[in-house]
Amino acid sequence: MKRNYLHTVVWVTIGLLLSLLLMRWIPSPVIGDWQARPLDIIADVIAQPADSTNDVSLDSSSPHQIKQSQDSCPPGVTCIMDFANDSAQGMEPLYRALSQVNSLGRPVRIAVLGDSYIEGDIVTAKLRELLQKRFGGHGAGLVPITSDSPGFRHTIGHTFGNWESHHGNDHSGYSATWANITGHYFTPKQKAWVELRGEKKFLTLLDTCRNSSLYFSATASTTVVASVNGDDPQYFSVQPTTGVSALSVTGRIGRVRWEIPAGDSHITCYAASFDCDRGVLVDNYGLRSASGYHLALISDDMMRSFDAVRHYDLIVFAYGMNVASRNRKDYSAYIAKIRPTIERFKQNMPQTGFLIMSVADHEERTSDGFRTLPGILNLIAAQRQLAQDCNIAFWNLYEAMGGQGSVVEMAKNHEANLDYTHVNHKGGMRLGKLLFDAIEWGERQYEKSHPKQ
Amino acid sequence: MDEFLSNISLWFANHFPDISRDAVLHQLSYDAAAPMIFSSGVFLWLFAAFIMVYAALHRHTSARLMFVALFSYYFYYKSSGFYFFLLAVVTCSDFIIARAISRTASNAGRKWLVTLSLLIDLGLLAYFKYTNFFGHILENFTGNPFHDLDIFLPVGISFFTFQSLSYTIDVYRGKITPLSSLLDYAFYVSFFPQLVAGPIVRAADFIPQIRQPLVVTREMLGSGIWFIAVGLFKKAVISDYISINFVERVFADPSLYSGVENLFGVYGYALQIYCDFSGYSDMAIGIALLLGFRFNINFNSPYKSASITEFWRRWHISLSSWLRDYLYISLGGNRKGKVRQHLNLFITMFLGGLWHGASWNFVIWGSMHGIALSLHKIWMRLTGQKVGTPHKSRLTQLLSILLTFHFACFCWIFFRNRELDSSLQMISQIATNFQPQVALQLFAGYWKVFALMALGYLLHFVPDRIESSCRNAFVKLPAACYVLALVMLVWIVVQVKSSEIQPFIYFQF
Repeated sequence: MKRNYLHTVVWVTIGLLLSLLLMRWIPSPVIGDWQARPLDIIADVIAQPADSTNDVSLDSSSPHQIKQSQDSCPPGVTCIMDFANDSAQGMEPLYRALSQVNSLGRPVRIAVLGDSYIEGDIVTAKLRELLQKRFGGHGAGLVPITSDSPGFRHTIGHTFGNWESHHGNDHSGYSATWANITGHYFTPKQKAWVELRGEKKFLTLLDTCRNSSLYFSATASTTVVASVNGDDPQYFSVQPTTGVSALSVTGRIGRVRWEIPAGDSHITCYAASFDCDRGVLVDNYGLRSASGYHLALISDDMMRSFDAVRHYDLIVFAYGMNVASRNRKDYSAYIAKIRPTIERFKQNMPQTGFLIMSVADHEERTSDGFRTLPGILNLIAAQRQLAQDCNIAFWNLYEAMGGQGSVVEMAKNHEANLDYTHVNHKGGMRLGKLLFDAIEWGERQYEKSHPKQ
Repeated sequence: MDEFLSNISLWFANHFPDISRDAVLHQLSYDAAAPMIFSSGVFLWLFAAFIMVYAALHRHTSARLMFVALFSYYFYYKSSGFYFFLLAVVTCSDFIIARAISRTASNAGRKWLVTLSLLIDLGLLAYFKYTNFFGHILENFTGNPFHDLDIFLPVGISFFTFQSLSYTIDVYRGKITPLSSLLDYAFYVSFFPQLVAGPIVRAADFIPQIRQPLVVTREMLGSGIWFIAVGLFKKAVISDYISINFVERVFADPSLYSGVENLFGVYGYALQIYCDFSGYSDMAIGIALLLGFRFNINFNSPYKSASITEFWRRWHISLSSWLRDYLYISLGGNRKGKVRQHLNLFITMFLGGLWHGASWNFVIWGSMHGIALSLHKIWMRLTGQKVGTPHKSRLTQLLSILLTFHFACFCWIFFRNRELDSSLQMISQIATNFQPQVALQLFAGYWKVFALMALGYLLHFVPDRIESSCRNAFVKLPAACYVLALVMLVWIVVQVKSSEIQPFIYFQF
């Protein structure tokens, strides 16, 4: 008869359990920078001491003067904190423009400048739709001439060809002469073209536009061709310009194609647009890996000329994710580098308001589960301080989305990616709505304090 | 002496933390967010308690069967809450029906009874798994809006209903005699190692083992631990790591990535799904061996297949053989002419695809395999090639393996992407925006992912004889070495499970 090893199974199991139990008292080895995660098989059943997290204080009450709205912030809304002084370059220009949206004679414009977090019109797509539903308008706004991943942006059909692209993250070849707020510029090769098509599938109010413009700078005369809805081409003779210029076509536009037939080093293009002539436009300038440093390259002249051809009522800075690191507490060097750029923006665009949108929840996996990178909280505090120092507005996205654990929850609901950092289109919808709620609440408070005559 | 005792108690107080009663109860209760899996810590604790009682009862067969069945029901409760009653419904109804079939002489009566069993089992499956899917199909036909019903999908329902059906159909076909003990049948249907994720163990294979004297041989002990270790490594190390750090993100937004990243995302997914699924099966087979039961192998290095027909003889064998024996053959198999044979093959794979989930992407996946199997049948007829017989030329054999692997990968694109648009986007990126220059940066940026992928594929393609030699050598090790090997493996699993997430890398292309 064969020997029965059933009892050995018992001993192996008990041996394994005891050995693993023992591991909790053995220090985790450290190899170079890497420390092994502790192995503790009773961690899940140990009574936890009372929570003693030393979060950086991020409450809304500030010791400094904040331009407070009249009513306290309602539940479910994370209000924008407006640190504007008399220059009123916080939220006021936007609220003022929104209150006059029907008599303004131009669309109210918002630009959101950020990194990969907003790439693909994430966050801004829903914000735009909600603002356009409330205040009127349609169209996806400005689109840089080319994109690394045009299919990722669902709010516009975007195809292009024969361009040489330069962007703010290029180690070399990104010339300060052409640096502009889109973070990109493009030089045409022969028969360079870009085409924008309205979209119906993703969100509403994106299928047609009233106006499409091509933004460029030219140092010599050249010809640009535009074609609307596949109709006969319109020829534009472009003369040398100083700063940024725009060519426009109008009508009920479902599809527009801009083309530069001759490969021409005398023209530099920035973007094409899919705009409305009334209501609200939201432009998305997402630049992967950007931290905002590339904005320092933009000359005063470029800022002013961009403002002249496409004035923004609000510019949102949505950077920070690419400078955040786990345990970094001191972001003063980052702030010091960014602050002069914001000040220059303010000087060169005196009728524009500015808002810093904080970084979002970014979690890391530890042996105790997920937690927000401690450095993120420090960065948010620094961003708020920056807004305060620059006398502009600040919106705490981290708090709005739910703070600690929120991105993990979003990942479970398929609203965020499994890097526990980036939200996807679905998650972007939720965040866009949160920003809309904050803006709408602020606008209502503005209306109360500035009743129409 | 007092001082000594107080020192000891102080040492314990310092080194042994308070165990929270609530936390223990929480761990032992059903948690929808954390269904019970073999690679969890709580399973190890429960299994340790279980195996002691199991061994103590080894000479008391009925008591042991009762204990295992109760533990299995508890295991199912940990996975699906109070839906464990479904197990009881399937068990009781099929037990009664099988006995009725064996007592019924008339063919019509037997047919009616087996149909009843099919209606109950497939009815449960249809309700819990496919109601919303069929609702939306009806919506398309009738135009009446259909709102999703909030129906919980009980874990493993696809497995235990198929398992129980194999019993009633085999009794109907006269292949096995029905059990006289409800306990034995409950033990078979609920046996926890294979309960929630297979393999689908056939009644004919398992039932004869139930009341055999309980013996775990030296070979079963060593092989059991080998299978558990291999399965744990495949599932909790390779599959989990490459999934969270690379594969999932590519599939989340294929258009964000170049063709080369998408292609490696697909290769990664092919490995991930194999390691995840076969790893869990391996653990089930290993645990069953430690309890004195033998299951058939469920995955046999499927990517070594030189044809799609061979692939389905190596991939999820318990399902493919179930579909062959109970669906394909029931449809007439190859007995009703060539055209019907191809149609039967297609229907089998179409429904096999649907079995994987209530969504069109699975149907597309199953249909693609069905068509490929059909075409391969024609090819075999034309060339006289036999399945599983290697080609004479090594080059032809290698090319056949590569072709089969890439076809399987191509189909995985449709399996993994819920939306057809995402699948087409992925294929378009690979075909039109490949950007091969990104490859080196990709390997450097994600070197851990690619090292694990290379290791995974390397281990997969290791010749069978080397794998057998390794297993035989492992089996011969003393038991203490098993403990050591498992401790090391668990330590690695913990490092991987709680490792930092590889941040996104955006390559410029």
